[in-house]
Amino acid sequence: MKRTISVPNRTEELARLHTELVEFLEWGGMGTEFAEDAFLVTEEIFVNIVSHGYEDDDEHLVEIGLSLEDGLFTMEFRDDARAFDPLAASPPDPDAVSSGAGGLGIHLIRSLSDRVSYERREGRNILTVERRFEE
Amino acid sequence: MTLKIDTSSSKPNVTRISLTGRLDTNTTPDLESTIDAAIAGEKTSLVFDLAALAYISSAGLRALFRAKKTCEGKGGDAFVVNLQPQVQKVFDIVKAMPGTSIFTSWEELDAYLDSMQKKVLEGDD
Repeated sequence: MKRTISVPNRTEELARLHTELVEFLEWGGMGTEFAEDAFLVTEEIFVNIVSHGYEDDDEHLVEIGLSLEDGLFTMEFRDDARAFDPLAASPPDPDAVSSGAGGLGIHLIRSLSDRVSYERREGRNILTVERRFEE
Repeated sequence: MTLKIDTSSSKPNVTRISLTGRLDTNTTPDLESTIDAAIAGEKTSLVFDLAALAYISSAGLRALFRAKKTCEGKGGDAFVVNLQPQVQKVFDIVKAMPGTSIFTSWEELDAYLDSMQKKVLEGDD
């Protein structure tokens, strides 16, 4: 099954994202723990895009493509922010973490995903995360 | 996406902050305001009781880290107690708050705080 969610670039939209993501995964027969892990990845990616991506105050839409089939859950985040590869960030160190520097979110995303990949295509950042599961 | 915050103090230098709900990007600022007030004056240590916290993201972790640094600057420390599975998992992933003891029960932490207090009164470092 597949679904695409289109969300304005505001952190207030996280509540709606949570509802839609959990609903999608529950329909697909996934449990609460899987859904909460998926949402944590979503929050980290979405907040990263909203915080760092845009230099204007305009509303931009972030598209999230969800796919659940053949034991593979995929989320594809597509935004038209400036080119930014979050995977190029270095791993966190304790001082960086406490000072609020980046890396902590990416570490969580990687730890909760089997595969994370980034590409820049047609003026859009596309971040894809995959997680396998037993059917 | 809600967070309820309760504070109490059963020991002179320690403020206990109990969290209910979710600690994410949108709810973390409320916690940060609470922390600022809770660590004022003669308070040097914080205990975060997470028994009713169902979710934490990097925003929440950073707030807890900053709280720990603030407490250490005042000669105290910050503790987390009663972690639920989802929150425990996140702490394990980031090896959160290195050097911090994570207690599994309030009774265990209470005993630890009492022994710390005793050491201070007896003049040990």
